[in-house]
Amino acid sequence: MTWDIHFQPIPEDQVRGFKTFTFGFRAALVVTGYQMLINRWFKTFFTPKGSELLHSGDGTTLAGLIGGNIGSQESARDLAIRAVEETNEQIKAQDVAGGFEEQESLESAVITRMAPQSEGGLAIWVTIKNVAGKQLEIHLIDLATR
Amino acid sequence: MPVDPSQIIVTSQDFYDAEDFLVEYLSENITEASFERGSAMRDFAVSAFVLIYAYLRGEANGIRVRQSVQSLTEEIGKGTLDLDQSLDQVLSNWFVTRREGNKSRMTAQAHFSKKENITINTSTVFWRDVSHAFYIDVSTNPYVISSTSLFPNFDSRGNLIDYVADISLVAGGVGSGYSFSPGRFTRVVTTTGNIPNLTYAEHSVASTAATNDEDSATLLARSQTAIAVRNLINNRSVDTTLKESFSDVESTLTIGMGEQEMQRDLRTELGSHIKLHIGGKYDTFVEMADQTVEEFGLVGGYFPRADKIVNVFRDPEITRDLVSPYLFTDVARHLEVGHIINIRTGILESPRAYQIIRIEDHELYVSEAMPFTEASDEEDVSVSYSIGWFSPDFDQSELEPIAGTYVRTAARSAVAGLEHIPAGTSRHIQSPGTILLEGRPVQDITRVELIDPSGADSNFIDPTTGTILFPQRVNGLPGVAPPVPVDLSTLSYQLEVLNPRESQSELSVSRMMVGFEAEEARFDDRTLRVTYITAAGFSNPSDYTRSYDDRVVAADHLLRMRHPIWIEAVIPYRLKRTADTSLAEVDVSTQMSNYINSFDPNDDLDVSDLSTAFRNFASEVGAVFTFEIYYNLYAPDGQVAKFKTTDIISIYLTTGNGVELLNGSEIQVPPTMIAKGITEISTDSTLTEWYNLMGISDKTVKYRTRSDLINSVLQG
Repeated sequence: MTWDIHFQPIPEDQVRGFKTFTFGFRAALVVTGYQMLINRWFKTFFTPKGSELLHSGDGTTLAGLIGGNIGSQESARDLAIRAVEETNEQIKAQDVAGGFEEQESLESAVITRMAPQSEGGLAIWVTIKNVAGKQLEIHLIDLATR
Repeated sequence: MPVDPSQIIVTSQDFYDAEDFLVEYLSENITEASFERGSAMRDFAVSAFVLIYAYLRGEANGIRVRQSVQSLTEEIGKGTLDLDQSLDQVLSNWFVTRREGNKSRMTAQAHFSKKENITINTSTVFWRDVSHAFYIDVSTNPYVISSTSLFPNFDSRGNLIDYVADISLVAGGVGSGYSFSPGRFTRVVTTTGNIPNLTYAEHSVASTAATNDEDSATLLARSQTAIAVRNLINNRSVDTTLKESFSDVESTLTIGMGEQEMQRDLRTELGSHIKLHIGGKYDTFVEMADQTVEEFGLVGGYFPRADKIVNVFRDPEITRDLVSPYLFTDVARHLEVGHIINIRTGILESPRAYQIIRIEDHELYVSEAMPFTEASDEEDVSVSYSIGWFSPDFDQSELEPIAGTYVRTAARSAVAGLEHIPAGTSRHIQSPGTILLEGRPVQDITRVELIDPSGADSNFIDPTTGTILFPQRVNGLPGVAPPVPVDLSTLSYQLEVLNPRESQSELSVSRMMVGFEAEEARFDDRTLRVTYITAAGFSNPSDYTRSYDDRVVAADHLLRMRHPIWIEAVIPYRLKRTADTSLAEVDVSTQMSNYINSFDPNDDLDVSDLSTAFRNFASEVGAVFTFEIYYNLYAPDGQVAKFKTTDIISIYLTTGNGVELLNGSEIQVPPTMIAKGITEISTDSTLTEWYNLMGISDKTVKYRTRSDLINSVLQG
């Protein structure tokens, strides 16, 4: 089993500008297994499409909305659904190319809840399941599980 | 070897290659970490360094390319990178350097409002346009134009407009951008105030073609021959050495022993019926840029031979001063060709006997092949001598003024006006009506002029210049004086090269004669000005090949220019019906002359080539009518052979090449050909015999022209 470097969301009240992730406030951590899959899915989901130097197809169009106001909740929902599908396709392609273990490989990721926010935002919960059968419902954007 | 960052090319493929390499390398060394797509480690440890890695790899590749001639050749062939500096650095390992371009030259006409002596500082700038400047092509500062060099300029009604002087100019920089069609200078700027009375300057003939700095492809091609021994020992090494040392040298051809053009090593004086090529001599024919020069000489004066051969003996004290002069030709002296002059003391290797080959009243000549060892008149030593026919003393001829004197010391004349005549052994020669030019190639003579005619010669004076102009070049001696009123266009001069086998070199003894038959000394003691075209900077490589340190010790190497063939043509044309402008004939003439001068010497230039080139240069032209090409070969002996052709330009009269020799009857047949029974040069065989005698072939001639010799005329 290999490890990756762990990152986590910056608490909502500490977000400044467009920086939304951090290695942590002390030393960086390593991450393995199912959490590594979640990190990978999560990073891909929030990568604006076209921002990768070498692989411009990576990422989703939804990431472009971060920091903006949502005018149409319906459109945002459609984008979110599409972004999840794009992320799943890319993660599964990575799984095949990289030879990840079962704990690190994606079985499925589906939106289980979406709720408009009073300040014009949209809260999304995604259930991510690995090939080994482990799954969690995760709140985007803070990765909270409840 | 630093690589200019702007010259480092990084492609997207380099990024992918860099990514693959870094992933592989890191995965191999840090096996427990994940560097797969989508991982954060890949972002930080791979993607972030891809740019740097690809850049460094591009630089490394750039350095690799610049380390060998082979890889440089491949890259230069692609033409994507500027590798000039890198190529220079690599080739410097073999001491091969890029050749600089050469400079365009021209003769400009400066117009002045008054006829006065003009002094011009050589820093004066003649601006041909806003970015191209020319300077006066002389080494002495300031440049002085004497009032005698200013010629009146008249309009069509005969009214005096201004005065004109020719000035040789050289471009301020190298490159073909300085080649200009005839035109006017936009400004003439001096740092020392205005040039007095100057109104404007122009040039009526296009400036000479100039070359740019050598490009890398040419430098590479040349470098292949650069690894020869850097001596002047064979065609390849001569070419490399001269081109490397002198950027003015554009091309070379070396002729050596056994080649038909090598006649300089032929010895015929060893014995009758013996013609022996002794070897040890070779000629290198070079191409260099033109330069127009002027020379002044006192007609009938004593001039040193440029080839430094000391073969004249004089004793003016007895041949000039006596009431009854002792003339060498006096039958009472019993002197004959074949007798001996015995130099007893005074010069190197004396006593030594020299065979007399020619006897004049005041001069004895010995063979040019076995000349005197020193010129006593230049060494300022006295020469003791005797003349006779019996060995070992050779003192049978009585030498006056004291009866019974058979040995004496040659001395200068004591008669006023004759003191300047050299005494003893000498390389100074003199003959009536002549001056000697300096030793250098003479490619074309543009003006021959007596600048200070006496009142007795008023019938020959050109009223527009106040001087005597000699427009006609003749092969034999100039004829009798023309009748009054004199047709000034018939006044002629002769250029004779006394040593044809050394012609077009620094050793060339070129004798210019003006005067008339039976009046050879008519213009003696007057000043003759000769304007001619030679090679710019010719003496530098020529001196190099003969210098003590660089010459081949066991050989006689001579630098020469090819024998010129000057081409003239008038091209008749018709404009297209759709042409909306008339033809800029001056510009086309310049282009045509450049085309001819740069024509591949290995190819046959013909009428068709000129027609095609003319149409290419002039898009307005609808048709080019048939025309003839006239051309003049300036032979090594100074004679001019005139040809015309309707087809191929050639010096040979082969069947079907359309070539016709126009002045065969005027060509003076050399004595050696007369001895073979040839009395006229008119056929292909006699012409070829003449060429062989002088070492002329297609290889040693150069077809040339100037823009004023190629004209066009609208017909139909």
